[in-house]
Amino acid sequence: MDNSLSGKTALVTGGSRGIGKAIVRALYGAGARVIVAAREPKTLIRAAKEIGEIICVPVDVRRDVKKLFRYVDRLDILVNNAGGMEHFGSFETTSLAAWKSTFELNLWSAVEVTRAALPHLRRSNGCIVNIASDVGRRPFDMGPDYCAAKAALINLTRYLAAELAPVRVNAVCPGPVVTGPWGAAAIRKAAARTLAGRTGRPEEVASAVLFAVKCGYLSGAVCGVDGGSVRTP
Amino acid sequence: MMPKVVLVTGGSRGNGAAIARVFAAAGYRVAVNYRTSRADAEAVAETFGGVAVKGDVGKDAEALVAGVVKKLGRLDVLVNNAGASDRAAWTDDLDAVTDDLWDRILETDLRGTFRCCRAAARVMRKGKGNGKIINVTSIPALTGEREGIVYSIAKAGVLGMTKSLAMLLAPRIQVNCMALGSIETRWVEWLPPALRNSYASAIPVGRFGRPEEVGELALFLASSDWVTGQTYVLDGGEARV
Repeated sequence: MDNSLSGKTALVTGGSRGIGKAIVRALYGAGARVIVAAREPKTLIRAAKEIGEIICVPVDVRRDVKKLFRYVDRLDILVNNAGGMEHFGSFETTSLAAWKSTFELNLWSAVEVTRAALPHLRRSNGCIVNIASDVGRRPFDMGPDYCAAKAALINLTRYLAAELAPVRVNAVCPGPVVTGPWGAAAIRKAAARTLAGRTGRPEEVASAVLFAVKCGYLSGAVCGVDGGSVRTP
Repeated sequence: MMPKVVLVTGGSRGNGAAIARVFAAAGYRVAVNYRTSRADAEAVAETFGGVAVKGDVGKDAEALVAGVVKKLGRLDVLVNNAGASDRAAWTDDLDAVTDDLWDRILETDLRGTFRCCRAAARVMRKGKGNGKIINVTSIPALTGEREGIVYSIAKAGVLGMTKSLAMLLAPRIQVNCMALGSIETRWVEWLPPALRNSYASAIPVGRFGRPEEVGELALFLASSDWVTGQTYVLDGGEARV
């Protein structure tokens, strides 16, 4: 059994389902004590029943960061996973309100959680993993707000790797992973974007996160886990 | 189930030896390739019951790969670690870049890597499971470097090769690249001691990387069927590219 993270405390935002839940499972499986923040108490409790003794904090990281950190006593690992694509429009059809909402969910929440986590991470000489996206490295044909927010998160990762050192900061960029009710056509289109010819599994992303947490020389790195959909930096 | 087989080129010391050890500890059967350092390669292989295999990747890649398959029965992972590591290549004098130097570096770092990839791909395509190819490049290939221009050219070639091969060999063979920063190998020993500390303190993590950490990255890349065509930078946060 892997016990390499025994004695470490991790916080995963958006950890009750999809990729986040797989990350929680991987960290917990490696022996870490895991605090999980997610919006919906019911899915959070369901995740805990599946995974084990995780610490569940039902909060919305867009507004309740202070409340979340009442439950954080120490921290070695922060995974900024909360995020998502809310709009699928073109640039012309994406309103400023939509842009703001996307940045709030995908970038500002990570900024706020990171600010709150920083004193803990400095004390523990810890690490941060930001979950970005392959479309943050190379945009696809819709959702300019989401592509730009994830690109900003990637650039922020590289920035923070210098300023927060020796705290390590890395990004993991998943390609298409089916975690919600996608239609068959959307899945086909997403799979065609990859060299693997298939969409990814949450566990495949989680194993990259686990590697980024464990490898002490990895910092400022942008780790693509996307079936080869994006091959540029 | 038969254990998987990995071939690590340039495995007699430094990163190659560490990669070999990490794979062996993870249960792989390991072929440790060497060109001239037979005793070193045998000593590495002996610690975990691997085999040392002779071969110059720039000249006899095909025979090298065939030899590994003959000895160990299969090939699942190729780590193209062999590099010329030629001290003469570290110069900012363009006129010192002779045709001879150019040929020496590119023969090993670029053509040798390509020929090993091609030879391994032939074997992996016939095998049942997925194959993995892991190449080694370096930060100068991404950022440029005042010293070591031939080296940066060769390693930039490896970057392009990695992406093209990832496309060509998909979906059964995953091809990725490790872009290494300052790892504690011979090049660190070449640095004047006074420079070493200032180099290390310029790295956000505050130290040089350990060869074992390169091994961990290689092992991760060998473990994933959904990571391909990627360049993973391992440099302690130095380049941030």
